[in-house]
Amino acid sequence: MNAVAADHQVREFRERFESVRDEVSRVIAGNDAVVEGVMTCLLARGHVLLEGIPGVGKTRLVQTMADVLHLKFSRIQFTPDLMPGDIVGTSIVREDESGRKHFEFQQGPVFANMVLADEINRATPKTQSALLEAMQENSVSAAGRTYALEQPFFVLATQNPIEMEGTYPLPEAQMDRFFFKLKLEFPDVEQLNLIVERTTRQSEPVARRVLEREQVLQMRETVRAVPVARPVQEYAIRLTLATHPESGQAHEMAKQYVRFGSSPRGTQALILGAKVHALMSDRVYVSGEDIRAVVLPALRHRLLLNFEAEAQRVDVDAVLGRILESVPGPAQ
Amino acid sequence: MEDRTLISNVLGQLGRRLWLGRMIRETTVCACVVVFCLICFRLVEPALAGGTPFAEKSAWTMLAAVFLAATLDCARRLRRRVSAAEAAAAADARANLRDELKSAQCFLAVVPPQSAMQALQLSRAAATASRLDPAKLVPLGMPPAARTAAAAAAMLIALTWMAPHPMVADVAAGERGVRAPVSGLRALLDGAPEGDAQVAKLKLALETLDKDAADSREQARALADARDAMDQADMEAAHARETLERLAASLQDDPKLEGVERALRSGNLDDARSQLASMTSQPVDAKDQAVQAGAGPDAAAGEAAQARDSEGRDLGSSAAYDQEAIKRLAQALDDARERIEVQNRVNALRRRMDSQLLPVKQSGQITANRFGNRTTDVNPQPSPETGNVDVRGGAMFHEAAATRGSEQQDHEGSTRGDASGESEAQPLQGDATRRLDAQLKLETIRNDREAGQADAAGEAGRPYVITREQKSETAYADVTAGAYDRAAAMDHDTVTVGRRREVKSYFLNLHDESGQR
Repeated sequence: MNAVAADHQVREFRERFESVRDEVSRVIAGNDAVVEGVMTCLLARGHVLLEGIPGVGKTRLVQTMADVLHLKFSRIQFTPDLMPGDIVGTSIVREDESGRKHFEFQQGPVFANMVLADEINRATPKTQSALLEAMQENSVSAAGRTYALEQPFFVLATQNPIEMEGTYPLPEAQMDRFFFKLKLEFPDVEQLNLIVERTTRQSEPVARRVLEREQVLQMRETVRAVPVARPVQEYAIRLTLATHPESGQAHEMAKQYVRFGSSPRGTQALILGAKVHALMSDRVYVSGEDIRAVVLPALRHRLLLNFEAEAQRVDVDAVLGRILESVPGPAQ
Repeated sequence: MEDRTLISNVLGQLGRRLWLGRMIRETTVCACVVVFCLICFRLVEPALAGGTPFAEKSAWTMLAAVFLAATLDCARRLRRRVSAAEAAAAADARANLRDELKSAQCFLAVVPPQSAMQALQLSRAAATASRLDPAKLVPLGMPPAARTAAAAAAMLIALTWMAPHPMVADVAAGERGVRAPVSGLRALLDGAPEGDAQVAKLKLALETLDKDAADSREQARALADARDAMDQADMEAAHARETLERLAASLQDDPKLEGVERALRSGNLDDARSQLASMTSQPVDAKDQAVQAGAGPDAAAGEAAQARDSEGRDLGSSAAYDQEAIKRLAQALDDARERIEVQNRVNALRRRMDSQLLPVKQSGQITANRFGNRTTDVNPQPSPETGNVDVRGGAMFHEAAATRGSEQQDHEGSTRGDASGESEAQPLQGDATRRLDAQLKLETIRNDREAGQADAAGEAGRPYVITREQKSETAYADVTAGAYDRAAAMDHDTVTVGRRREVKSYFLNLHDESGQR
């Protein structure tokens, strides 16, 4: 592939991305950044955790995304009595035409391209961990066999940050497997007007299918092809190290309020997310600005604050904001 | 042109311009540092000129070191060339290119490009680079901050050089009006005794002032030396007068030398000298005659007294004195007359110099309150009773009040002395006498010590801090240090010009009578 073909590929990527965003926007009022974040996770081969109070459109957003993308979609409503087998599937006894009985693996809802794990923190850790292998390895092991998941495999989990009673907060290992953690804010007046207008009439807007599975896979390849210059890569690493309180490059605020900093997956998320952001900005290289644009969703769930931060009500986003201000960019 | 070459060329141009810009900036900073040091040196130069040569040399050395350090630092910074990465980063930052050139510069090292995306990035970066104008992106010229600094430095230089510092004013006077009449000043010393040290010093100082090759510092030093010599001549004359006064007092009880004593008291040295001369000639004959006739010295003295009785002079017993003593007395009179003669000539010289130099010196900010290290705040109710003695121009009063009192002063009951001069005097020590300002500071320190003891004793149970008048900020070691007198000699702001002579004469008339009590 030469430069002209690459240029065409990049232009195509943008057009497809924008078409998805526009189509989702016909149904979802506001939250454009969240829509872009979800698309970024999908194209960067990651999974997304959506957090927001009830009624802000988390599930609706995922359903709309599934409608827009021609992908196999399944929804799992996480409840305390949900078992791992309910997610990955189970072996059942089948009898063939000759009367012989055998075990046959019945695939669970995880065998889909887009999996909505709704209210994931309501299931037990045992059930939550059933998603671990699927999210990380893109495969499922059951009854002594490993089943590869069809690509793209994309988990969208939602959780409610306010109703914590009877929930099981996600363990750090599982949190780290999410590419982005996106927060859905309460809509403002204009967005509320749009929501009311769209949802209280005789017919609600319906999203059209604009992207095929193969196109998604092609876009994923395009993202991976974006080159990253060494100074930009080092900038992402400096940002990651600044979150580690024991690191020599730790920020003062991290030393004071952070118990554990971001994992290397955080750096990977920074680079991959920045690549998508760069392509969306019609650039074929990653700049410091792209890195900065994805720092909050990529790192906010990877930092574990200490007791002092909780006591002083210091937010992770505030810590990351200060780190962003202090760490010099690649051009400095 | 190939994309890589184009990007490299643009980055090279940017790098050169960045280096030139850095050179201009560093040179400006270096120049500002040097100018600042020069201004500082200019401000402290008058103080250094009167100090030890070591201090002056040290200051010059320090100035040269600062200049050298600034130059070396500038050269060190300029030695490092601007790299392509730095040029790319600067271009990205200034043209808001979002790291495009910096990324491209990194991808330049990979030959051939690892991917089509890299090649695409390079071609896009080349297009961007071709649109850049290095002259606009990196304008050569003095940065605004440097321009502001240069303007401030220029203003500071102008203000510093325009303000007439006393020292500078003296030098300026030396260059303008003093040099011309210096030869006339030297003529005033023509008839002065040749062997007198102060006259020699004055001649040397005037000679220096008259030199065309003498620089401003030498002239200023010569002026200070001249004033020192004049002060010393004054003191020696005062000492001579005191000697005469003491001599007159010792002759007071001798009726036979009453004429000499009267002549001394009236200041008629010629008359006293002639009387003594007659005593050295006449009594020798009478004594010889008495010795030859076998008579005693009393008889010879009686005859001599009778011989002079017709002239109304009581010199009858002069023959009773040793002729050697009479000669020594005559010699003392001659010495005193010589000192007074020198003083008269020096005073004439001083008057002439004052008329030419003092108006120039008064252009400086000279205030009396600087003399005693007092603040410039005006005391609304100055009173010696309350201890509020900080008054403008009140240095004399303050110092006089600190001087010990005398039993014979008019203000009976006071033990603190009197500003009118009726205080005990310090012994005159001739050449060892300190300069007046140094002496005044010594007085201040002594009183400060006494006041400190009183405070220490009295502060214990008091809810307030008692007034600490007469405190000096000058350390005792500073006053007694050898360098102090010279430094003080160059400090013209110590005493106002108008009050200088009064201060001086006041302390010249101080007498130490503590040993007689």
